[in-house]
Amino acid sequence: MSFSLSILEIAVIAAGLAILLADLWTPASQKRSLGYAAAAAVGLIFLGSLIMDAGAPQYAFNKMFVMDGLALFFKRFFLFAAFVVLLMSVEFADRIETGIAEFYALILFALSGMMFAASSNDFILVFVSLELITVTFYVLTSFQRSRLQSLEAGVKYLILGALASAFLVYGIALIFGVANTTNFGDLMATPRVTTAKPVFLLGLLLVLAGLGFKIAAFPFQIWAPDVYQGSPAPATAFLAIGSKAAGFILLLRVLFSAVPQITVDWTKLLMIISAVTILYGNLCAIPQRNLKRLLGYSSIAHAGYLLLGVAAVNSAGSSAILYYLGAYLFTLLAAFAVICVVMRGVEGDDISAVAGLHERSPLLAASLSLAMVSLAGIPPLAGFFGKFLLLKAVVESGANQPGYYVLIAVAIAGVIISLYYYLGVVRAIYWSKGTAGSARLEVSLPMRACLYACIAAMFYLGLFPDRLVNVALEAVKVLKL
Amino acid sequence: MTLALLILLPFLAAIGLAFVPKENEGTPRVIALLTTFFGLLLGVKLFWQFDAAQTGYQFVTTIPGLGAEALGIHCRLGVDGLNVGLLLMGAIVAFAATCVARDIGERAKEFYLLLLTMTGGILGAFASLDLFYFYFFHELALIPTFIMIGVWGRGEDKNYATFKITMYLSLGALIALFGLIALYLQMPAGQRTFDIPAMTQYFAGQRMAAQAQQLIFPALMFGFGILVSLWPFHTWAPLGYGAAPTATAMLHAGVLKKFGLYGLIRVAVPLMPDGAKQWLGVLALLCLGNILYCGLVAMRQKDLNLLIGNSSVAHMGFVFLGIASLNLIGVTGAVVIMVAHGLLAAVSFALSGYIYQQARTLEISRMGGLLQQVPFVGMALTMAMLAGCGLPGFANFVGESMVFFGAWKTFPVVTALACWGALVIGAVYMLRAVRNILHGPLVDDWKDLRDLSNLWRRLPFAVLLFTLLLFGFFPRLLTDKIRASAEVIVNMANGGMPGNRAANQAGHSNTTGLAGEPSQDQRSLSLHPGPIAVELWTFSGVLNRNPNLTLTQKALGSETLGFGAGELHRLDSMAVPPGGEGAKGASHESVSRTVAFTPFQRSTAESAHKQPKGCGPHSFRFKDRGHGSQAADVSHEPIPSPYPPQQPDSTADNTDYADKNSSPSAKSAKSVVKELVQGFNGRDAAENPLPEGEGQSEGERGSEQSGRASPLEDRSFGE
Repeated sequence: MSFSLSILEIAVIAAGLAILLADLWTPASQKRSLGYAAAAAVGLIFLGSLIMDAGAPQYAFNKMFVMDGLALFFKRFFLFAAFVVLLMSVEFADRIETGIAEFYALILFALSGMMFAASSNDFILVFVSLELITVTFYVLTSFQRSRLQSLEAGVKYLILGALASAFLVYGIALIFGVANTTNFGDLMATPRVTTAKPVFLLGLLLVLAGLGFKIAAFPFQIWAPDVYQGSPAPATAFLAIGSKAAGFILLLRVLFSAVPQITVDWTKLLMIISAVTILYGNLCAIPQRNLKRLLGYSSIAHAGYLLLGVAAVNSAGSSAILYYLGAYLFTLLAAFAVICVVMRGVEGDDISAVAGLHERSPLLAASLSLAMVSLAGIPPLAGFFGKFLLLKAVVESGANQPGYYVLIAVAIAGVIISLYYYLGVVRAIYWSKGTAGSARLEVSLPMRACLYACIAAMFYLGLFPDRLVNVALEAVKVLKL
Repeated sequence: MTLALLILLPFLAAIGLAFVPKENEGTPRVIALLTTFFGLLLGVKLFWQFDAAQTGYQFVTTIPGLGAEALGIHCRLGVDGLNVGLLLMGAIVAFAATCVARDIGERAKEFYLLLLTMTGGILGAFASLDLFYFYFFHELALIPTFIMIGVWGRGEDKNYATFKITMYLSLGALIALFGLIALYLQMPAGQRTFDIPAMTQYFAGQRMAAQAQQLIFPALMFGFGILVSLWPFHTWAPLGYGAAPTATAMLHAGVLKKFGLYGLIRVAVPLMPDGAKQWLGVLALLCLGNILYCGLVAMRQKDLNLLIGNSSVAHMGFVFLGIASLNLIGVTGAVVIMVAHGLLAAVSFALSGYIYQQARTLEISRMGGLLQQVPFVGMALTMAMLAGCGLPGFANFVGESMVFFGAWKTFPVVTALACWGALVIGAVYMLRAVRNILHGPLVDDWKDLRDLSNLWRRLPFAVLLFTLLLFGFFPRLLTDKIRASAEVIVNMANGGMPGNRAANQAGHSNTTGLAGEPSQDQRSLSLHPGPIAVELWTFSGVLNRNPNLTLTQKALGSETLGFGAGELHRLDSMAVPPGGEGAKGASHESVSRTVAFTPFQRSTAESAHKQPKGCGPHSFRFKDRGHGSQAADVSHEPIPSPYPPQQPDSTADNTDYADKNSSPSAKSAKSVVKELVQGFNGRDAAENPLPEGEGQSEGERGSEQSGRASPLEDRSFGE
C-alpha cells in the first residue's frame, strides 16, 4: 500500500540508478544519448502519471506521505519539467567535459526529491526531500568544473543552502519540542494554546526562512542571481522551475495544512515579504546585461508574484499559484531552451548574443520573445492569465483588509518595471545590431519539438485556461482554506 | 457570424501569414489587403444591418472554447449603438492603414502579421461583451505596437518612444484591470461573471455599495484615462505617434485610443453612478488640460506629426467633456467624436506619413507651397485640418457641438473654455500649419515631390474623408443608431444624480425620473447659444480669408446645423418636463438668452404617457417620423437588458418643422442658431402637457416668424 502510492517516485529513482549503471557499459561516444533514454523514461512516467487519479487523499509511511490532487498536480509538473530539462541537457552535453551520465542521473534524483516534496505531510519528509533536492543541486550547479563561474555558483549555493537547511532543521526541532509532533495533520489538531507559544512561532519562522531560501524570496534571495548566472543552463532551468515549485508546494502545505490558523495571523508578514520581493527582483533586473542573471532576478520577482497568492490566503490565491506555476513552467522552459542553443560558444551570456536573432533563427527568436512577453504577463499568453488570477485573488482579499490594495499597487509597479527589461530582450532580438554574426542557427529536432510544444502550451494556457483553472481549483481543495 | 468573422479573420490571416515562405515578397501585402478589405465590407454590412429601433445587443455571437467557465469568462461578441460606429470606423481605418503601409520596405511579412494582429485585437476589444475579453483584446495590440514602432519607426527617439508608449499603456491597462476585477468581485460569489449585459442588469437591480464605487470608479477613470492620453498622462501620445510607422499611428491614434473612452461609457459610468457623480467633475477639469494645454502645446510644434499628435490628444478632451456631462446629447456627441476623430486621426497620420515618405522630413518651417506640387495631398490635408478645427460639414463638428450643448448646464465654465480651446486654439495651429505647409511659394527642395496620382493610391484617403463628410452631412446615420444605447447608459448613470432623489429614496436606482412632482432640484439644462455663436463667428472670420471656401462654409454650416438642431431636439424630445415648468420656460425668443430645457432623464413615464400626442405644432422635428417616436417610451424602460422592442407611438404626428421651413439649407447661420434655440423652447412647450405651453409656444412661434431677435433676460428652467 505504502509503496504503491509512491510508485512514481520509485520509478524515477530506478531510472536514475539504471542510468548510473548503464554509464558503466556505455562507450564514451554514446554517453550523450543516455540523456534521451533518461528523457524517454521520464516521459513514460509522466504519461503514467496522467492515467492516475488522485481521488481522496491517501496516506502512506505513517501519514508522512500523502497522495492527493495537489500532490499529483505537482508531480506531473515536475515530471514534465524534468523531461524537457533532460532534452536540454543532451543539447548542452558538449559543454560538459566529463560525467554527463551523472548529470542526467542527478537530474533524476533531484526530480525524485521534488516529487517527494509534493507529497510531504510531515516535517521530516519536508527536510529529507529538500535535502535531496539541494544536495543534488550543489553538484549540478558546479558541474562545469573548469569554469570558474560555475564553481563560484556551486560554492555560493552550497554555503547559503547549508545555512538555509540549518534554519529549517532548527525550526523543525523547535516545533517538535513544543508540539511533540512533526506531522501536519497532528499539528493542525494541536490546541491553539500550544501553537501560540513563542518558541513554536520562532520554529515556524525558521522553517519559513528555510523555505524562503528555496523560492528565493526576500531576504533570502541573495544567492539566486549568482547561481543562475554560473550554473550550466539546464541546471539553471531546473533550479528556476523545479526547485521553486518545490518550495511553493511545501510552503502551501506548511502554511495551509499544518498551521492554517497562524497563517491568517501572519498575512501582514507575507504581504510585506511579497511586496519587497517583487520590488527587489524587478528593480535589480533593470541594469542586467547577462541573460541568465536577468532571469535570476526575474525569478526573484516571480517568487514575489507567487507570494501574492499565498498572502491572499484564499483558495483563489492558492489555485492561482498553481496556474501561474503551470504557465511559468512552459515559459521558462522555452526561454532556457533558447539560451541553451544560442549561448553555445558565447562567453558571458550577454544579451547582445541574441541581437539579430530573428535573422539567424526565426523559431528561436519567436520562442524567446514569446517567453519574455509571457513572463511580462501580456495577453494572449499563459503568463497573463496567471497574473490575472493572482490579481483577482488579492483583490478578493482586499475587500476585508485595505492593506491588500497597497500590495496590488506594488505588484502593478513591478509589472511595469519588468516590461522594461523583458521588452529590452525583445528589442535586442528584433532590432538591435547584432555582434554575434549572422550564421544561421540550426536547432536539433528534439529541441525544435520542445520549443513548438512550449509555444503551443503558452498559447493554449492563455487562450483556453478553463481546463487548468478547474484542475487547480480542484487540487487546492485539500488545503484548509 | 458576421461579427465573429470580422474579429477572427485578421487573426486567422495573421496565423496564415506566418507560414508564407520568405521568398514570396508580395504575398503578405496581398493577404493583408484582402483581409482588411473583407473586414471593411463586413463592417459596412454590420453597420447597415444594425437595427437602430432595437435596443439591446445585436449580432451576439459566442466564440466557443475561449474563456473560463469557472470564472464566468466567455468570449461573447455583440454590437449596440455605442460600438457599431466604432467597429465600422475601425474596419475602415484598418483597411486604409493597410493600403498606406506600402512604405514599409523591409520585413514586410512581419509587419503585416503584426498589423493584422493589432487589427483583430482592436476590433475584438470594441466588439466584446465580456469584460475580460474587452481587456484581453486591447492588450493584444500592445506588443505589435511595441515591435512595429521599434523596427519600422522613425526618428532618433524611437526606442525611447516605443518603451514609453508601451509602459504607459500597460500602466493604464493594469489600473483599469484592477478596477474591472474589483467590479467583478462586487457581485455575489455564485453569480460572478464578466459578461457586460449580465453585469449591467445585476447592478441596475442591485446598487453597488457607495464605498466600492468610490474605489473602483477612479481606478477605471484614471486607468482608461491613461489609455486615452488624459492630461497629465498624455505625454506618450504625441511622442509615440511621431515615432510610429504610418499604419501603426493610424490604427493606434484612430482606433485603439478610443478603447478607454468606450470603457468609460460602457462600464464605468453606467455601473457606478455614485462614483461618476463624485469624479466626473474632476474629469471635466482634467479634460481642460487636454483641450487647452495640449492645444497650446500643439501650437508650438515644429513637426507636423507632433502637431497632429498633440491635436489628437486635445481632441480627446471633448470626448471626456461629453462623458462628464452625463446626458444624452453629451454622451451621444462623445460617441460621434470618437468615430469622427478616429477617421480624422487616421487621415491626418496617413497624409503626414506620405509627406514624410516623400520629403524625409516633417519640419513645418522647411515646407511651403506644397499645394502646387502635390495638389491631391494638399487638398486632403486641408480638409483634414479643417475637420480638425471643427468645420461644419465634417462629422467632428456634429460631435463637438453636441458635446458643448450637452455639457453646458453641468459645466458652463469648462464648456466655455473648451469652446475657446476648440475654436481659437485649434484653428490657430491647424490653419497655420495649412498656410506654412501648403501655401506660399514652393520651396525648391520639394520640386520633385510626387503627388498621389494613381486612383488606387488615393483610395484610402478618399474613403476616410468620404466617411467623415458622410457622417458630417448626415449625422443621423450615426446618432440614430447611438441614441437608444446612449440613453440606457445615461439613464443608468443618472439613477444616482441628485435630480432623482425621489428615485433614490424609492430604491429604484435606474428609473429615469419618476412620476415625481416637479421640484426645485429638477435638473434642467439651460443651453447657451453662446458657443455656437462663437463657433460661427470664428469660422466666418477664419474662412473669410479663404474666399474660395466661404460659399461652401455657408452651405455646410447651415445644412449641418439644421441637421444638428433637429438631432439635438429629437434626441431630447423625450424629455418631458413634469409639471408646468415648461410653460414658463417657453416664453423667450431671443438668441442671446439662455434656453432652458429639461434633460431626458427627467422625463417620466407618466408624463410621457399623459403627453397629448401630436399637440405640438412647434415640436421642431426634422424628418422624424420613423425613429424619433420611441423616445418617450424608452424613458420608462427601467432596465437596459434585456431590452424589449420599442413600440412606436404617435408623437411622430407632430407637425414637422421641416415641413414649414422646407429649405433649412438656405438659412443664414444666425437664423439657424435662432431656430435651434427656439426649437428647444418650442419643444418644451409642445411637449408640456399643460395648456400654458401651447400659448407660450404660440407666442414664440410668432416671434420666430418675425425673424427678429429681441433680448430677454436670462432664465433657467428649474428656478
